[in-house]
Amino acid sequence: MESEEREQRLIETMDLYGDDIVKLCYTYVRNWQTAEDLTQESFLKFFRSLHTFRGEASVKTYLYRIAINVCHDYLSSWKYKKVTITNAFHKILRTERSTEQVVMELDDSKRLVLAIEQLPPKYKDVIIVFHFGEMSLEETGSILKLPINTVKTRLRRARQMLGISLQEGVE
Amino acid sequence: MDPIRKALNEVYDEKHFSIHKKQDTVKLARNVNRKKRGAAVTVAVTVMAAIMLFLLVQPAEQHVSVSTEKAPETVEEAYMERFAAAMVTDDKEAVMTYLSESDWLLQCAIESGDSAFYRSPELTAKERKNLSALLYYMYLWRIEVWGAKPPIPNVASFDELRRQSASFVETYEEFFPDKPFISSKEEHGLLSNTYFGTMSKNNQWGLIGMMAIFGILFILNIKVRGNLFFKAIPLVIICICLVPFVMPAAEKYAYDETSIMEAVLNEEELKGAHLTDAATFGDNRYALITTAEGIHYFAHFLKNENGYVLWYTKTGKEYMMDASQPQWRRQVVAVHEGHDMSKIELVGEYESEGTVIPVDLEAGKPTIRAIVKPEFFKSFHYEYYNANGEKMY
Repeated sequence: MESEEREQRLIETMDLYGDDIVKLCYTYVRNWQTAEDLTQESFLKFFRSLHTFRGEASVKTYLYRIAINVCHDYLSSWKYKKVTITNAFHKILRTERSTEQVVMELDDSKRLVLAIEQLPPKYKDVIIVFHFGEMSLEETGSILKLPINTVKTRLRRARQMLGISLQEGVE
Repeated sequence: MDPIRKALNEVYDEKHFSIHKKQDTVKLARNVNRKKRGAAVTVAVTVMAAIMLFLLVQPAEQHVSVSTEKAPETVEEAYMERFAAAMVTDDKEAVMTYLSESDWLLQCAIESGDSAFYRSPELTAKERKNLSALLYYMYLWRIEVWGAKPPIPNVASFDELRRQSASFVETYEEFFPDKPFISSKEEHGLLSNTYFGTMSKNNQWGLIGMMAIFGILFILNIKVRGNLFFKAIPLVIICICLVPFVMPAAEKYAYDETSIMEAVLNEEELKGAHLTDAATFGDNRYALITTAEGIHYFAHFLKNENGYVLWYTKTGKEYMMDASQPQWRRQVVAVHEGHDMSKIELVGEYESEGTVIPVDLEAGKPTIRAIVKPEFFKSFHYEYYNANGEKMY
């Protein structure tokens, strides 16, 4: 693939999926600036691997896989841990309101999103890919490299944690 | 629409991947190829630099000068004296005296043409090598064949010997195909200047194997997500493994007069001294060194798979020092310059009582002699005689 063609493909993909990927990243890092940086990194990785992309998966599936990996890498990095510790200090100093107080004041959608943001990563992964990405169980399993049964189990537990009851295609 | 997707879109409604960030991403993407080229160039340059560094680690230039107070003799005289001694077969005492002396300094002088011990005539490189090899083979013949007549004819002059030396060496080489002559230049060439070169073959392969394993581990680690610190550990280990390739060899080898001095001066932390005599007997090399303050050093170098390495040094103000080579039944007797002895006797005791082995000396002249003792001659003491032939002490 020629470099101009690759560049064009990158622009199209960013226009099509950029907003979704930035939101996906935000659920993991809860900081818009960082989410945008991680989105940019995801698209650069996508661009670098375009010549090896064989089209067996859809661009969306491929991009979700890259983005989730980028977020996981960030969460396991020293940089993130340093930021987390600093934020924890700030919270203590500010005597911030408790999460329960905040949740009580929100509407249903906001409450749901806040709950998703606070899910452990392995449950967040399945919720984001399956629901937000509107992927099938097979696609979810392929992106997260998990067997379908594991995807089902994690989806069920994630929903229990969110306190919602959704049935589509799971049980 | 999926309720979770709907909720996320509602809550994150105003957040988008900004145009500015998209433009920035395109700009960075354009630089990716350039960066790849830059990284490739960096790796290539680093590898080239490492290879160059490895190749440049050649034997260092010697800056130690050799000085000696031993009166210079001409190579011709010294050589013909040794040649005549090597031709003697029927006089056991003469053979023993011949074997007790070493040709090594003479060999070095012929090879280099620049010796503090001997004035060397004009010789071609081929003649130098042949004459040096001939000394080695004549001595070897006496050690291996003992009393048998040498396989070469006697010659009367050094010039004739020069002309015939090539054919003489060929004759001897046929007798000792498994003990070829190695010149001091070749001996030097065989030495490694790096620590890696002095390691045993097993350790060398072990080190290379370790580097290969950690190299593979490093490559595999690059592809795995994880902490950069842990990814770098194999790289650090590889770097540590590279140290022996550039680190200078810990052991100093003695392959000529200068390297002898360098090894001893380093070991004894001396600023100045002069070499007065040196000798090689098989796998053992000896050197006599004296400082301006009159302190004497007797250095013993032992041959290992790489060369002659300093084993120990005896120090003192006394003139006579010795060393034993029990496996060869040899007793090495060394006297430093300035001594006043004309003879030392090895006088047998107990089971060897009644046997006396004399070692004739020239007063004042530094000398190293290797005495081959009879098998029964196990216990003995030394007796010393002054220049007038009177017993000392």
